[in-house]
Amino acid sequence: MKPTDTSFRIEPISPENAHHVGTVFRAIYGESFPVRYVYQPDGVLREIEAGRLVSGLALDGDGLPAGYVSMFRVSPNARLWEAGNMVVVPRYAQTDIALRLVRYGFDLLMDPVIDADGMLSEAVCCHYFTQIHTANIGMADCGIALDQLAGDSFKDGKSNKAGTDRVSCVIGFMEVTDPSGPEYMPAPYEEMVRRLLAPLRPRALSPSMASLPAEGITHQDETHYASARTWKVSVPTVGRDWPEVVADLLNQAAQRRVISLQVTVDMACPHIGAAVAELRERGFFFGGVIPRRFGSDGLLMQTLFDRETDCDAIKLYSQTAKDLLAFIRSDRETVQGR
Amino acid sequence: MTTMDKLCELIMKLKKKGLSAEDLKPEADLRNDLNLDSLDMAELLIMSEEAFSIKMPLDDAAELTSLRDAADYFDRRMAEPR
Repeated sequence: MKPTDTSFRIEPISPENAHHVGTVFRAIYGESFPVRYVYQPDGVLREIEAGRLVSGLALDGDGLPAGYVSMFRVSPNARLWEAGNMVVVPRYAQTDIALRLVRYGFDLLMDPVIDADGMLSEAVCCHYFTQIHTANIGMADCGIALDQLAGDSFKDGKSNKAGTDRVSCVIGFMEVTDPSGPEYMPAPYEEMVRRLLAPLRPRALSPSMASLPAEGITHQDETHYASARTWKVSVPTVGRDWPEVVADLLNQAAQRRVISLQVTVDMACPHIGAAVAELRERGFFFGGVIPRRFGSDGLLMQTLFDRETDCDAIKLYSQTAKDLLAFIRSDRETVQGR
Repeated sequence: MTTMDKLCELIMKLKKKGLSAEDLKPEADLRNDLNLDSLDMAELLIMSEEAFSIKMPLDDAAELTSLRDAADYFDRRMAEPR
């Protein structure tokens, strides 16, 4: 098969082809892919109909399914999309269909119908493929979530080229609309935050000077990925109870046997400097920025439980990502003394 | 060491146990004969950029078919004025 075989076509998912989605996933994961609706044509169509999913299916010249690409909406900002699955049936791995699926996903993002503020991607750091292609379509590297995934979740035995038992992810972003409103930065991270956001649209950034609020309670949303032992917490509002909230998060993380705890705080919150100081006191260190997470940007803080990260095995493509990892290691040493 | 030798060394490192030196003929197709999939090609791109001190556009990488193509490409790029 030629690397640039032109007989492939990519088309939107429809009632006529939705059954092929399960075929693609079975070819790679058997029946074990955790998002179950991919095996159910009606489930895929329901997600699309509800506006939660956009996707495309690659077919070869004989009409056989060759790959699949998708994006889904990310809470709590309904205008934020995340690059979802990009999967290729193994027998087509020597073709350029993966590249074409990446480009198709990019075109979907630009379609005004999906009404996006932007698209996030989480590119695994056990190989370079996704990072190279997200950079190639113009996504900016904004964060690194250390040890986010379990290495053994890469069941094909080939994708985890680093061979580590945990896999880190580079957070990439492409912005479609202008952000609005002021945002605040904690003092230790001002320079790096400005650098990470520089490739995106202009923002009104200023230092966070406020102490923790005297009133109000913290609001949070969370997603616990039990099989990955990763817990992601989004904080749109910091309240006077913040120190207790952080202590409670750490206690719960220990009970849940979490390895990676990620806390993202809304940068529109003027108190973010004090909130981050509290997190650093408790061993959290910098992860980067998750642009437009709340409509406004989110500052990612993270901590790892009883774990030394194998930083030398993290494969990074962009210079920004390499510099960011060095910054993260330094911040971790500062707050955790390691 | 010639460019071809260096390239073969990189591919052997990449595929580890999957290939023997006899497989690395100049006419060998990178994808079909040497079984380099899209992840391997990305890895080879990074390793080649470091080994030959060049920046390789993604579209150029997609055009490379055989081992000889790749060696010729790197020779040509390294001969360009910098």
